[in-house]
Amino acid sequence: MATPSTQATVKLQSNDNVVIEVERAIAERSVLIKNMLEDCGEVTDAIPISNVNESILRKVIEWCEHHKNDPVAAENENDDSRKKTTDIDEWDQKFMNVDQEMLFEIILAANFLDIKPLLDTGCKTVANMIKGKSPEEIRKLFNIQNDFTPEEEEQIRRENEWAEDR
Amino acid sequence: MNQSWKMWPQPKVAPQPCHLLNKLPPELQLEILLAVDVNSVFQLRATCKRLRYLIDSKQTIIGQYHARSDFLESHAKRLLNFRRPGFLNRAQKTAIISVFNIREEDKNFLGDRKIVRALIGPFEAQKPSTTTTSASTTTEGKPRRPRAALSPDPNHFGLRELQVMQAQYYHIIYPHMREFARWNLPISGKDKLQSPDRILKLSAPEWIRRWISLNSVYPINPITPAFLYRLESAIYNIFITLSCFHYRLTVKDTPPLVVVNNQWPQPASASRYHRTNDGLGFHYDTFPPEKHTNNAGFHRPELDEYELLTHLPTVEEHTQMISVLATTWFPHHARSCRPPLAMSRFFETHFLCCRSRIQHGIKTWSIKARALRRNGCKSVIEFGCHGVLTPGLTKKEAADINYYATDPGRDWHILLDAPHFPDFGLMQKMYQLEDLTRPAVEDRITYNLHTKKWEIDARRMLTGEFIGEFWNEKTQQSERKMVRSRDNSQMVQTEQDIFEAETQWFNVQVGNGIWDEDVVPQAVEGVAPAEPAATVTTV
Repeated sequence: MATPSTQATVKLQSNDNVVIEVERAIAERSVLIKNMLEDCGEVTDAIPISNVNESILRKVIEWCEHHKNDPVAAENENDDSRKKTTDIDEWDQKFMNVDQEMLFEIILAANFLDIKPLLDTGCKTVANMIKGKSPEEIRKLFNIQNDFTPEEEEQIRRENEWAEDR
Repeated sequence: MNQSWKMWPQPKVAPQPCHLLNKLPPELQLEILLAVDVNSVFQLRATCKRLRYLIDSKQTIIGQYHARSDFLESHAKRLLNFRRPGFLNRAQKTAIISVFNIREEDKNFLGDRKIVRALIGPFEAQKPSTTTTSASTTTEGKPRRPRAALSPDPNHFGLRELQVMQAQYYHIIYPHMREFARWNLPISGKDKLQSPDRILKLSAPEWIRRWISLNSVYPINPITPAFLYRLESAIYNIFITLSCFHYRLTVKDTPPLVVVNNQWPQPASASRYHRTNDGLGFHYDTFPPEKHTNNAGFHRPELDEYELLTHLPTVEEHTQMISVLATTWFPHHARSCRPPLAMSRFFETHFLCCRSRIQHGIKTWSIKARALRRNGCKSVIEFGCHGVLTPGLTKKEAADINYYATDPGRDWHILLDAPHFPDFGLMQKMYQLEDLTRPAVEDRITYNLHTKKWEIDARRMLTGEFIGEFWNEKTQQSERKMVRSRDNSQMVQTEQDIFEAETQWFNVQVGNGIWDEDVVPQAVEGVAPAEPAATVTTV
């Protein structure tokens, strides 16, 4: 068991080898980093964040900075309650107002770094993009190719009828 | 090449990859599916095969999540709203609008009916007219009488609703009962079953999903909120019961066998029911009425344990009770009085107590349960009409019942009711003992063991008679099929065979317009069977 560290900052290294120094408290919004720091004690070397490139890492850090004072969600709060609403606060909405590629990269990074609130915000953003759209509109939105045969489409339409607001 | 080069049109934008499908791993795709609203799940399912596969393969999780969070609750609230106009406040309505993704422009028109229409799309999708007048003919070529129209009054519960409900029950709930009976839920690790409530949470969404999706297959006309309300109650009641059964079946330390029908006699205020049903109802009391009612006909809560124990049923009574229960709850097996295997196991290994009118017996029940446990029973399962919302029940009494229903450390209290006579116990539980009032829906249907016919309470002749016909027809059909099977030396008839035959029967009846008013006998009087003791009232 490592001794608790008092270091104020940590270095994070993106997968394109850019090192970013960040307040420890901010970095610890990531459960992955927090656990790593707790396990290793003082870390002087840059922590490699192998799945995240610089631009995304900076974006994630920006989010963590903004939310550094947010209360940390309880351990068991990770299932139902956190997803119950698709409401996203205004700052987060602006933060997530990026192109799709970056949005999904942020989601992946949040997942990798284990930042559940950010992951939720990302998922909710995607959910809001989907909300109210028809299958065709969703396909267009995400560049999904319709690989159903007309018969399959008809079958699905019948199966989905109940959900349609007529 | 002499041919001039024909230019393809220049692409306006470079083709984009599908980030949703290609960038995210399935677990994150699932996260998004959990974040979208119910309607969007269905829309996504219709976009491509990969998403359809993902949703279908994760439907239990998705359905569970949605049901556990907003979907189920809002669903129930909507229905409650119909029974009690004004039940929902603005915020709740807003939540419903959000959950069900009702379009902005529709909000102004969001009357109760509109909300329900959004909910019951499947039914309306098949037959949009609410007051269909059929001009077709029956199979015999006779002109068909106009189909019974659904009442425009959302609180009305009439023949048509009952017909539909019966069909729903038969074709949707029953197959699930069978499935559920075979279903082995995990009982270790994270999914360890803590209580029937836990099972309910695990499984209810699947029920709802299938129920709704199956509905879209059948040509069922618009359904009133009252119908949905009852159907939902029925589903839950049955579901909870099966959950309890299943739970008990998975618990190794099963209690010894005792079956008691502790159906209390009606108090004086309800004596007309008692009299009416004397010829129809099955009052399998474990001790005579004078023992547990006072002079005025009301229940005596001061019964002591000795009296209770001395009136435990005999083996014969017990056997009869099993048959009665089996034929009551599983009419499809009535021809042989053979309950499904799981039910048999249940009956063989559990103490079972049937009771209705719980408000007349809480205290005594408690005494009795204790006494039985002391006498060797390790568990007591109550099985009966909940009666929570019976008019006149106080909040305190309701709270007591709720306590029985929810405390896993106590005896199981099963909320069970006939599909046509559901109670609202779960609803009430969900709404923290909201002071709901159940309308006096007193449909009664009985199964006469001697005549092997379903019979009905004269007070609801039309609807009851219909049900009776419905089941009788079904029973006869099953019997005929059994005879045919024997003729063909096919002694073993699988449940699947029966079910398929019955499904076919159902479809034929729908095609023939059996759901029309003209198939319902018009008689009103004289349905009491000759042998009062051999009938059973569905609790």
